[in-house]
Amino acid sequence: MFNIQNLNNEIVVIGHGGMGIGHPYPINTFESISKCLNTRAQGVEIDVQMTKDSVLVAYHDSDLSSDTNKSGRISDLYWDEVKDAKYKEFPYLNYSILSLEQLFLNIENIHGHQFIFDCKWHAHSLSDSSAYKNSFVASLNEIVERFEIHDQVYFESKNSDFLSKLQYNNPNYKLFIYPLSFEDGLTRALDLGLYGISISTQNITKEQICLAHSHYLFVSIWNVNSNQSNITAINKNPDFIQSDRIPHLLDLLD
Amino acid sequence: MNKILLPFLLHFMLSYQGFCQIINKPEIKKNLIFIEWGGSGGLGSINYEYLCKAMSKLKFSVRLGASTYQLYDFRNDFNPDIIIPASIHAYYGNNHHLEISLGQTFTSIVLASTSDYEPQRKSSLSANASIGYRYKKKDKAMVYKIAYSPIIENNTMYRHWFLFALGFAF
Repeated sequence: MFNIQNLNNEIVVIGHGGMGIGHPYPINTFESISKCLNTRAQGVEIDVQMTKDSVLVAYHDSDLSSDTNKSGRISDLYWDEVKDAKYKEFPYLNYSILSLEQLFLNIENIHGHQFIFDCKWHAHSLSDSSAYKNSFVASLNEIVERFEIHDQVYFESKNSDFLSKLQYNNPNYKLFIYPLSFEDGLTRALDLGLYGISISTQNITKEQICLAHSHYLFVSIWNVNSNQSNITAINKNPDFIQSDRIPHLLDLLD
Repeated sequence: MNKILLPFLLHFMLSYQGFCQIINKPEIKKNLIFIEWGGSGGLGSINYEYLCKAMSKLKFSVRLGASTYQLYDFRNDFNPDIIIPASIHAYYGNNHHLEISLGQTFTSIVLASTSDYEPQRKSSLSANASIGYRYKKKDKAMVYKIAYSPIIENNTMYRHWFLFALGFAF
């Protein structure tokens, strides 16, 4: 049905935070990630933040109060203060917040899947500091080493300095810049020698993806949140699609 | 002549009027099935309601519903979430009714155990309430409801919530 023309001639199906926005399982929960991988997606994108005591937590927003029964920035809190947070999106559903350690200790077939870590930076004095970034990089390294997921993990970030630190730490890491525009992303990815560009599907065209491929840059696209946008995304020939409609995307690519 | 006819006509009219009232009096439909969007079932529910008592404009009924979020758990095994709302309702009016309700919702939700991350059922009771508007014409079957329907999860955490319902009485 589709003639995929990208760097591997196949599209890697990635669940946005698991089953994506709009599913009863909130994104970044164990239930959502596990369901996504059990639905045959090749991988999941996970939003990663770090607590004051260097525990990596899967959570999207800048403050816990927007999605859970707790409040405060993750970078301002200790894991003990975060670990009991429950998502409150729908009535009666009390799914727990998740650390990366909990995820990788309990997920099935860990080496059969791919994981994109969207390393979150929310404007904040502490998280902007070099010490915080170094600690974040060290915690990510520790998780990768401990669970031996070097070959399955990708990192994406808006922050070039942070990506450089990761790259310095391990030159084999597959790193995506997360830019506001394609032109900015292309320049920064080439300057830093990154693996690719991770960008909203609204901000990139089929021709721009082709241009990135001509520089041997992989392209991961997101904000793919409807059945129609799954089709539009496939037709652009990206290398990865981070979708909110996983079963439909898998059906299209079968 | 008029003196003879008048009592007869009056008697006939009154009798006929009474007869009309008997044959035109709408039958009270005591059973109601309805679909609810939002409300105490969470995202939505299917429901049965029985009219227990009707006193002129004031009526009382009981309701039992069923709902779910998912039929298959995160391992993709058939293991449905179960949501059973029950409530008592009082509503006042002819066609346009002011309605209030109170009840409890039983839930049995499948989530990951925080110890071994295996699927685990967590059951609880939550209070439900509503205040809103019900429209039902006496001689028609269709019922419409819209209401503010807060949920007190685990009977401790208050959540603002709303409902819209569409039903068929018989």
